[in-house]
Amino acid sequence: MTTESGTTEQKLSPLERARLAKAEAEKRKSDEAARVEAEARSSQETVESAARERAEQKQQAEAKVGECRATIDAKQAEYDEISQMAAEGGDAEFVAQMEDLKKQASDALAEARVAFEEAEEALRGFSEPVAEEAETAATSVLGKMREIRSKSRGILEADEHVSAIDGLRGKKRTYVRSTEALLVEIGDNTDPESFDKLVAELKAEIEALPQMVAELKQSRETLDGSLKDQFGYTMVEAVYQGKNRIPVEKIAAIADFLEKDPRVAAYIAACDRLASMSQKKLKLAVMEIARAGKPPTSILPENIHAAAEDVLSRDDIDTIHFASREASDSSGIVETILDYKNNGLSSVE
Amino acid sequence: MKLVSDEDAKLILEFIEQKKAIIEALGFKITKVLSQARDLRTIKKARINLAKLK
Repeated sequence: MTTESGTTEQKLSPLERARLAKAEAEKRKSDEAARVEAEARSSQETVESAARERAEQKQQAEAKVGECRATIDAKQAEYDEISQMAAEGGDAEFVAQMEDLKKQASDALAEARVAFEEAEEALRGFSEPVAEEAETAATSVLGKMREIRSKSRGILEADEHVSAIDGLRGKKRTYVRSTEALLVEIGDNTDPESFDKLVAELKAEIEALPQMVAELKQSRETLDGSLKDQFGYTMVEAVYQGKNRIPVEKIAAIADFLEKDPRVAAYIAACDRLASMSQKKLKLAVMEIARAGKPPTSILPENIHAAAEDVLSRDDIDTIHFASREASDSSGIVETILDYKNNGLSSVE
Repeated sequence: MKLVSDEDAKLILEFIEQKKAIIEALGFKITKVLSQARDLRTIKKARINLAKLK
């Protein structure tokens, strides 16, 4: 190039130097245009890619909100059924209990509707590209969401605790109601003979309970031993440790074993029977307490209620929880492993 | 006009997921209440039938 050497440059005429300068300027201009165009193309591609990604995220959000709407509609129908039953009327106690249930359902439905409206409001964040004038408001909403997110984990954990407590209360309420059914079964003014007969029947039935528990534990150990020998994992290990470590073929083999071995179905059925027997054990405890030291002519309904409350305050309630949990866990574990096999590992991610 | 950011999009999705979980938990509660109401009505009917038998 002429500029490499002052000597060469000096040999160019003014006209040649002017032409050279013009050519260099045009090249710089062309290079700059190419660079700007490349940047614009890259930027356009980035925007298009982001738009596609936002569209997919919006679809996911719409699907979730759609599921929320379906849940709300279904729960509205359940609430309507409760209202209808409450409207049928009955004695004062029945009406009061129904009104209480109706209020519980109504409060839960109202709370669910608020959550649904908030979800719908959040969905609108996707619907349009943010207009400048709406940006401030959107930023404010998103700021609020961030704040909520930081708190919501704690709220959800609290919700889980509340659900667990509700579950426990539900079991207790169910059991207290089963004493109501017991009253109906043997009549309000209980004939002591009928009462004693029922006690004797229950006693005979639950004599097998300790043996059942022992057999259940033995069955579980045998099953787990077989699985461990053949595949290297117990049922629980297959579910909780296997997700990332066990090859799919091995999961399928474990699932085949669980499907085909009759001991598995027998074990789950035994868990269910144990849960049922535990209920009977509690029922018997209630009846014995209600019977003890009472006049031999009758067992008063209030004695049964008091006895139910008494039993529920003891450790006996744990027996039900143990057996129910064992039955539910065992079924759940088997179902999860079968799900691995049928739908692939992604189904349980 | 500008697109909602990736971070905000994820935040919205997470928020909606949380609301969905809350709605499902409340829905579960309503189902339990319905079950209790049905039981209550069954007991009422059983009492009425028992009274008729006496």
